Amino acid sequence: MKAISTFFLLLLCHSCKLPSEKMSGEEITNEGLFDKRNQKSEKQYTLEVSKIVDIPVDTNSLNHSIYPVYYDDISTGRQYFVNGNSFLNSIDFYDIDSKKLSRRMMFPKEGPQGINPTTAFFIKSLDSIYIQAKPLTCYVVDSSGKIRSKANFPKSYAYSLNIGHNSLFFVRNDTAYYPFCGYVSSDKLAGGASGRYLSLKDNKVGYAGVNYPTFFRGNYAAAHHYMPHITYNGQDIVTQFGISSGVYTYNISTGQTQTYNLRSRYQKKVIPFTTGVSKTRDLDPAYEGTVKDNYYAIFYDKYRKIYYSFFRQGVAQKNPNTGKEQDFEDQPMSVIIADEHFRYMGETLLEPYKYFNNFVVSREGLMITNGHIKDKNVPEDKISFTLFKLEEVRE
Amino acid sequence: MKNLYLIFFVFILTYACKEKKYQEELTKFRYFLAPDTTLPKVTLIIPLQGCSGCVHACLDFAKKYQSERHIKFIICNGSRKEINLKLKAFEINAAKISIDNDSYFQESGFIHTHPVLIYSKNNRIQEIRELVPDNINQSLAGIEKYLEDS
Repeated sequence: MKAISTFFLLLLCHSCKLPSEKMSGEEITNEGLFDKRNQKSEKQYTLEVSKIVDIPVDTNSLNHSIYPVYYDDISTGRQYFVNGNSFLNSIDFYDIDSKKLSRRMMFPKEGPQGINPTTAFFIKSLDSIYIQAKPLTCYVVDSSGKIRSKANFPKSYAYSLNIGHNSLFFVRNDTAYYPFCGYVSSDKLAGGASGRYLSLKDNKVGYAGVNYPTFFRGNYAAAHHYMPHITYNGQDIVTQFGISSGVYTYNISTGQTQTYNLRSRYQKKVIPFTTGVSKTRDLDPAYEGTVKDNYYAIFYDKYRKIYYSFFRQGVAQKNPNTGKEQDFEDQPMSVIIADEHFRYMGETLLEPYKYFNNFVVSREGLMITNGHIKDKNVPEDKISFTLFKLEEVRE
Repeated sequence: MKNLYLIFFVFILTYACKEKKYQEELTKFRYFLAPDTTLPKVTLIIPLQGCSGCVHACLDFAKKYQSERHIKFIICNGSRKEINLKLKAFEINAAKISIDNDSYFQESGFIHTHPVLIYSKNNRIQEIRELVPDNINQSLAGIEKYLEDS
């Protein structure tokens, strides 16, 4: 009997033990994450510029996207940069190899086939495009643009789905997954689910994704520091919050979560919450968005089975040389490379004032749009990317 | 009596602080408007880069109220092409709004990533409010009421 008890106890202890690089859920503090060393991959990499890809755009199209999407059409071998054009209410497919607009799907704004806007979407195939439009409706359209089905979030979800250029929604089977943030405060979000799902089959809405870290409780941060950024690796919703180096995985099938640390080498101190406020509105956006560091986005690269995490370094509120106010666009940005176990594989500091915030993971590598927002001389007749490829660092 | 003095003192102090609070913003705002311009009752500064839902709500509002003489609309943080396309898409007459071509409001720290609403009275700024998702609908609805009341 004693032997059985001992065996059972041992089994219990073993099952509770976590592998060394993982941490237990959302309980670890921001300070705890900062103090923890990154797990390092044996091989280290950097991102090297491979080539520039310029694609002409017409007079009705911008040279950047508010929701950049990449689509790899395995049936034809063509790869596309896809952009929702709010001026034409269209979805535009730019062939990356021929550097041409190859397809423009136009949608009426109103009526039974109306969808507005068409700027946020997920392409499962050319015959299954999921468009997240107002008001809180997700449409599924076929290759001709005809609506096949739709599902709605309740009205209470207005302004709560945090999708954007650095956090794209995705669809698995017939269910769409979204980062969720109620724009309430980091304090109120603590412990609640950071994602929601919407079933296109039965319009069911539910929780999905890791819970907001408990260290948010009693603390206030600007929205960009607590809004979740997600990426999907085929099994897990991978989530990062601006204020922390923690990376959280949520397995969609099992609901299991894990916490990892993926700290930028440019993060020199814990990104602090703001004291002395009782609501988000009391925060000084100029200070929060400029001076403090920020984990800006995370993307999974399914071709190389790695992650890119984008980190922005805080800068002084006023430029010491010009005296002009600075903002988050003045922050230098680096790209942390991590393997599929979130082991640090290297980090590349991007050339300052050169790029725009459109990141696209393509078959060939990571593409980032050229043309910094503060550069007034960026050509507007083309969308221009720099293609970065992984290069092993040999010491 | 002592209490009365105290209340009076606190009142004066509060008022003085409020005046001082917007002094820097007033100077910056006047610089853009030209010094001798009467401050509009309501100013809505709309940065095209940033919270896209907020920007769209403000552009919709501008489309509806572009001819209202007490509201000044200022569009900023966009390239020439982007501004033109947005104005066309929202059916806003370029002659009825101002465009901050030099990113003045951004570089002077007046705006960040959200639209900013300024209430003015008697050539003084009464309130500056950043429009974020949780207050934008209420704030835009409040403009109409403010104009009726003032």
